[in-house]
Amino acid sequence: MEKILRINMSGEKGPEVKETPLGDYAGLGGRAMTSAIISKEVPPLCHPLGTENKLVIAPGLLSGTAGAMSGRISVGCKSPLTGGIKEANAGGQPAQVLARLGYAAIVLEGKPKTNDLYKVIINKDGVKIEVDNSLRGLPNYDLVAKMRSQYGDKIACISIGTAGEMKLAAASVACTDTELRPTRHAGRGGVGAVMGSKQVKVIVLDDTGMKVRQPKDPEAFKDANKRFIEGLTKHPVTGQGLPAYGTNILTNIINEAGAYPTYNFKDGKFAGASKISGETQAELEVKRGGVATHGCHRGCVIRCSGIFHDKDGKYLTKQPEYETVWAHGGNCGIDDLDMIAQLDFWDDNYGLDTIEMGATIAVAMEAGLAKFGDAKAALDLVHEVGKGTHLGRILGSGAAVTAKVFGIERAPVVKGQAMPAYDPRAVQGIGVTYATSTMGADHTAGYAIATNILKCGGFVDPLSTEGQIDLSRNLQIATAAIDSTGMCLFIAFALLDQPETFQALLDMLNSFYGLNLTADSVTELGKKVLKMEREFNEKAGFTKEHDRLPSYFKTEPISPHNITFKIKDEDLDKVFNW
Amino acid sequence: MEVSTQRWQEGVELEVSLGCSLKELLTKQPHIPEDYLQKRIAVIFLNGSPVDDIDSTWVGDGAVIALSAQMLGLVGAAMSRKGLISPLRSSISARTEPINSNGRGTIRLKLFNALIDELGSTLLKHISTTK
Repeated sequence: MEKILRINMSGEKGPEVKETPLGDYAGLGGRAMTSAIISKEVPPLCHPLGTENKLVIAPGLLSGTAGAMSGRISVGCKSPLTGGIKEANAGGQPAQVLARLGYAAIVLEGKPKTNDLYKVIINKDGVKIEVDNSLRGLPNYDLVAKMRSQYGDKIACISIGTAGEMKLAAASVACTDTELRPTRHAGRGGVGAVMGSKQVKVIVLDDTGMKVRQPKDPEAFKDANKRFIEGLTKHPVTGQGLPAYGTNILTNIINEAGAYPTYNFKDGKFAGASKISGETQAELEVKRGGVATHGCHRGCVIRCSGIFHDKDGKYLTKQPEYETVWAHGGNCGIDDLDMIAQLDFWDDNYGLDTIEMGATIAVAMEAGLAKFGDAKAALDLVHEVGKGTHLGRILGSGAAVTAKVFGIERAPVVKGQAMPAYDPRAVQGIGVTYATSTMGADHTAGYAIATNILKCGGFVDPLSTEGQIDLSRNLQIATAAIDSTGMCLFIAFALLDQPETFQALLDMLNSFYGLNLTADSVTELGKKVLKMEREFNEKAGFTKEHDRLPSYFKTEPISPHNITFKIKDEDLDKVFNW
Repeated sequence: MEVSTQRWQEGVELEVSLGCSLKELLTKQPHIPEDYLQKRIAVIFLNGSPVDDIDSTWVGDGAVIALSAQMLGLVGAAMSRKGLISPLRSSISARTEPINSNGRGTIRLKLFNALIDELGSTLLKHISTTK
C-alpha cells in the first residue's frame, strides 16, 4: 500500500492512469485517507456530479494483512445528497484485495467527454480500463454475474447499479462479499451517484499471485492479533450477541425504549417489532437452511452477517441489517420479514442506500402514495426507482427531496440526509450527533463508544445538557479515529470494556508499521479528521444553522414518552469547541 | 409448558407479590440468580424506561419488565444499567420512587436475545401461572 492509483476520466483519448506515491497522505487509511484527499483536492463549491469532484476509495491501514476485522473500505467524495464532505464505508472483500494489490487508494477524477460506460480491471499485471456499454442498465447482481463469467470467481467487485448510473442521490457503491454477491454497500450520501458521474460501472479486483501484506515485526503482530481476537471473542457483544442475531438484535431494545421511529417518525413503538426482530429473523434463517452467523469478509471473527432464504429455501438476500429492517419495516409499518428481505435485495440490486430508501418510502406513504403497512406498494416504489421512472427519480433523490415535492413537513433529515433508526427525542444524545455530524444525520458518527479508553476528554456532568454535548463530541472523535484505521466499527464494544483489547489494536498497528502510536495519538487523528471535514463543509457553505434537527422534533412530542428534543441551539454550537 | 421465541419477546404474564424492589422481585419470585442478574442482564426496562438502579426501582401492578444481555451500538449501549453513556437517554430513564402497591398482582415479563435460551426454561419452573 505504498501508492495511490489515480484515474483521470477526462483524458483527451480516454481515461488516463497514473500511480503516485503516498506523499502527504502516508500513514492514512479509510476515512482519514478519503477525507484528506477530498478536503485538499476538491473545490468545496464544486458540483458533486461535476468534473472537479473526486471519488476516493480507500482500504484500511491493516487491510490485506492477516489482521482480524481489517476488511472495511471507505468511499469518499463531495456528497450529492448533503452537499458536504462524505465518507461511507462497507465490508466485503474489496478492501483486502485492493490492499494486497498495493493500493492505499483509488481516486476517480474528471469526467469522460463521451457517454461511454467503463469498467476498470486491476490485477498483478496492472490496470486496464475498457469501454463496455453492454453493462449499461445492469443491476448489481447481473453485473457481478457477468464479471464472474469473464474474469473468474477469484475477483472482488466495486460497482454501481442502475441508481448510480442515473446519478440518484440515494445511490450506493456495492462491494462483493465472500460469496461474490454485491451485498455490502457504502450506502450513505449518494457516493454511487458520484461513481456514476465518472461513468465507471465496475472496478474488478483480482489479487491472484499477490501475497498477504507482511508486518515489520511479524512476531509482535501475530501476538497482538491473537490478543485482539481473544478480546473480541470473549466480549458478550462481539463474541455472542452479534454473531447469534446480527445487528437486528437491536429491534426489541430500541422498540422497548420507545425510541424506534415508526410511521415516518410519528410514534416511538411498533406493535409488530417481535415479528421482525433479530431473534425471530435468526430463527427463521436457520429453519429455512440459511445462515444466521456469517462473516462479510475473510478475516472477520465477529460474523454479524447471515444469509436469508425465501420460503422455498432458496437464497433471497444477505441477512438484512437492523437499519434496513427498521427503515423498510417499522418506519413504514411493515412487519413481514420476507417482504423486508425482498426490499433489501432490490435495494442492493439497484444500488440504493436502504436507510435513505426506507425513510423516503415512509415520507411517500405519509404523502399518500401508498398506505403504511402495504409492503407490496413499498416494493413497487423501489422498482420505480430502479427503473428510473419520473416518480422513481424523485424517490431516488432521497427523503428531503421527496418531502419537498409532495409538500410534506415531516422530513426526518439533517443536511439533506435521512435519519437512521433511533428517535432523537427519546434519546437526546443521539440527536446532538445527528445535528452536528459532518456527514448529515448519521448513527455511526458517534458509534464508537470508546470514550473512557481514548480519553477524548472528561465528562462535565453527564446529566446536564453540557454533558450531552461533551459526550457527543468525544464519541464523534473516537468514531472518526476508528473509521480512519479502516477497522470494522463493531470492534468498539470490546475496546470500551476491555482496555487490553484496545492495547492489542494499537500493538497491531505499531508492529505492522513500526510505529509508537498511543491512545492520545489515535484521538488526535480523530480530531484531525473532523477538523478537515468541518473546514470543507464551511467552505462549501455550511453554517451553524445547518447543525440543527428539523424544527418539528422540537414541537411534536413522540409517544410513548411524549417528549420533544430539548437541546438548545447554542449548546449544539459548542460540540466542536475544543 | 413451552414458550416460543416470539412469545418471550412479546412477554409472558406472571402473577407475583408486589410491594418490593425490582431486584427483589426478579431474584425471589421468578428466581433469577442474583449473580446472573448482576453480570449477564445488562439492560432492564420497566414500562418502557431503562432502569439504572434495581434496588431502588419499585414495581407496580401491571408492570412490563423486559430483560436483555449487553447491547451493541451507541443507543443500544446507552440502555445499559449505569453505563458509561447511559446519560444519552436520561430523559426516558426509569424513576425510582417507591410505589404504594402491596398484595398480589400481575406483571408481563419479556426476554430478549440470548436470555431467551439461557433463562426461559429456568423461569418457567418457577412460574405458577402464565398467559
